[in-house]
Amino acid sequence: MTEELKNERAPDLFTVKRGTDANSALQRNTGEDDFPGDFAKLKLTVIRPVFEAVGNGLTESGHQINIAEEPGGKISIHILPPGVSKSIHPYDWFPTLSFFGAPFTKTIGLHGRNARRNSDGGSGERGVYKLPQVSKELVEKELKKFVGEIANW
Amino acid sequence: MIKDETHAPPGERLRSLLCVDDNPGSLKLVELFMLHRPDIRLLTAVNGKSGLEIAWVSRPEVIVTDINLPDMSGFKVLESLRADPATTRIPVIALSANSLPLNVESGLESGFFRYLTKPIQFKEFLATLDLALAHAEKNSTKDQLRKRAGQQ
Repeated sequence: MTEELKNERAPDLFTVKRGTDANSALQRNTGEDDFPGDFAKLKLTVIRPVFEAVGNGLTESGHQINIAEEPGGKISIHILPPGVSKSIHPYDWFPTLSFFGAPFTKTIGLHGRNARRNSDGGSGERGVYKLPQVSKELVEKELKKFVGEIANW
Repeated sequence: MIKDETHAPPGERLRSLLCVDDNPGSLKLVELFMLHRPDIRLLTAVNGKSGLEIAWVSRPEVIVTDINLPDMSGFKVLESLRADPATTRIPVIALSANSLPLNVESGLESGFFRYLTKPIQFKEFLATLDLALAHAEKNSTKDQLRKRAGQQ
């Protein structure tokens, strides 16, 4: 069997069931069917903790934060800048940064949404990454950059 | 509809692109784009059903589908292609006037290779097509390796 095929083999059941060592799961070469599982682990161990940590800091400076995750899907952080009233609007109406999985290409997309016109920080794609590229440092850097862009929202 | 007026340059393999769109203007535009790509045979369909039939018979290397088709959505076309082992690995590019980031996100999450928004841009379309062809080529190589490994 070629080296390439060996790398592509799906993890054995023990590895899948155990599933506790997220780092080792992310470091191994992703197989054919484990992308959703690896993305779920990435959300749990990397993206959400950074969203929460940065979000806590933002809350202290007067922002309102909401972290939303669709089961098996994207994770988003909605940010209401200080002084902005949510009123009856859904969180989607406010600046949002989302990481989502693209299963066909096995990549992670980063999109920003910023509903208000004439404010810095446009909407759209902000990056496409392979699973191992999405580190805490990257998430923190991108989130802080986004927060900086919506400062005058 | 199958237009077969293309000729691959010597030494290059002729590859197929299936474009599913009910808008004659969009199909015409893709047809014009393909004049720059003699290595590609363009197949077209004006609804999801005939698109799927052509895909299953012709097995194109890449498929481009509109999202708002008259008989079914582009998402349904994608779902049907993914459900069949013969077409499950074909890169499918969405082409739509629905251009909100939310639309793009949900398209990619559903399994489209790329999500292009209308109006179709020449450079973007050809660059995406090349990426999809490279992806198809890679998949084909992997399949061959798998077959060989299975035979051993």
